[in-house]
Amino acid sequence: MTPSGHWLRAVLAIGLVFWVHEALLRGLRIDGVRPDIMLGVGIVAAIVGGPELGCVVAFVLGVLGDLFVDTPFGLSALVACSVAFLAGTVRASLGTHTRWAVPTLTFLGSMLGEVLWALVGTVLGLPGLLHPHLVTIALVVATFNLVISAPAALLMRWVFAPSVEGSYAA
Amino acid sequence: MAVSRRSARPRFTLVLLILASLTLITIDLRGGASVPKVRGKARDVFAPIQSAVSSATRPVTDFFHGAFQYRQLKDDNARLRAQLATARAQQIQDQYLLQTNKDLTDLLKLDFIGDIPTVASRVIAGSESNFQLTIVIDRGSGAGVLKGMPVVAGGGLVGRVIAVADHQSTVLLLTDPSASVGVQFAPSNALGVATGQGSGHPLAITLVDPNAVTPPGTVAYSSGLAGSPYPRGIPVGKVASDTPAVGVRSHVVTVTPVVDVNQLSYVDVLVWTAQSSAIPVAPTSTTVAP
Repeated sequence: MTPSGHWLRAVLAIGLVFWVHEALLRGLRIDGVRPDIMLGVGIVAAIVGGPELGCVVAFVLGVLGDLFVDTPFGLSALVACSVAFLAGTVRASLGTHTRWAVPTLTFLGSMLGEVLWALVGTVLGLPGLLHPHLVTIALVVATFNLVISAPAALLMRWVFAPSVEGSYAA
Repeated sequence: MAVSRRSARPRFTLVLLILASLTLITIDLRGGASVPKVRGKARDVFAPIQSAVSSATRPVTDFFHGAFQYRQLKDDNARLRAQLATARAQQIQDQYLLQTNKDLTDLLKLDFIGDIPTVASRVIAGSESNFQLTIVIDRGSGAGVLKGMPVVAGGGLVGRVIAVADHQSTVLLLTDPSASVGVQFAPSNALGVATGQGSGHPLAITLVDPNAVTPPGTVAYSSGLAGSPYPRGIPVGKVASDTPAVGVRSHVVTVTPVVDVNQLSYVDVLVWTAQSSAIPVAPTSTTVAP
């Protein structure tokens, strides 16, 4: 497949994930927490497609997510691309036959992402983020992303077909 | 050499994206009009899809809500049954009190919003972010809603509008840690500032006079002092606790909001901004029955 074909698939996949997050899951709250599949899919993209392509996908998903909240614009994108890059790098260091890499790294990456968001938000002057409820937020978001990590990995394997340099889509 | 260049490229991409993110954050925090405009357009474009899908998927989301809130729903059910029994017994007396209350309200001009026009709105979504307590309402700039307008419901303050699109607006709830409102207590007229402490927690009060007395049950209203984003006299909450602070000559006061901001279906946006505060609102410190 040509590089433009991959990017076309990436655009379609990002559109689908965005639609699911902002339309289908918009009203869903688990213990008062809204699932954040934009972060989860960004992490899965980096695990499957490699840190470079994955963090670009995570960045785009983060920017799209930032359009619909009133927190600093770009903050979710910053956190998503950083965590995705880290997850992709860890995945690359594990080798090719690691069955649990996707769910484990998605879970841990999602937890880290929520905590990092609160930390950077606090540095930017947002009050009340480092609260005990942050643990609940991180756990709920991470668990939900763990559940969706399998279908998200399938989607990302379709996007990052084996010809992509540095990917683990095969 | 080639290998080294290849391994450096992902890091270069990451640095580029981080710089792009920081640029976006800086542009937003500098308060330009471009980011709110882009956000408003995106929400307007996507609002019809969100609304349609939200209606279709409501049974599923309600199922999840019920599943995770089962114990609370059970407790609520028992509590509501007890309240219903009490309410039936007091129905006749309530009618009398209602009439008395109406008469007194008319007499003292107790209507807390006075002549301020309102825009009735439906709540169409809860907080979009896990880190900000907001609601989304179905009225926007097309209905005359402006950024900064106060929002009320069920006899008290809910919050204020922080973002406006053509057909929807985002309201920052009183309970958000970044929300604060100047308050005045009745009947002592003590002044303070109420600050949100998160969902399910009462508002924290910082009193102007640390020696002021605010016993539990005392009603707090928006003070409406010059420059306040809220008009004077909107009920904010009732004092839940007033305990002496340890080591200093002061009090730790908390206020429970009069409106349960987690159970909102409809709200009124007050067509009022700090600049238009010439609109007369005439409550006194005894305006609302506790």
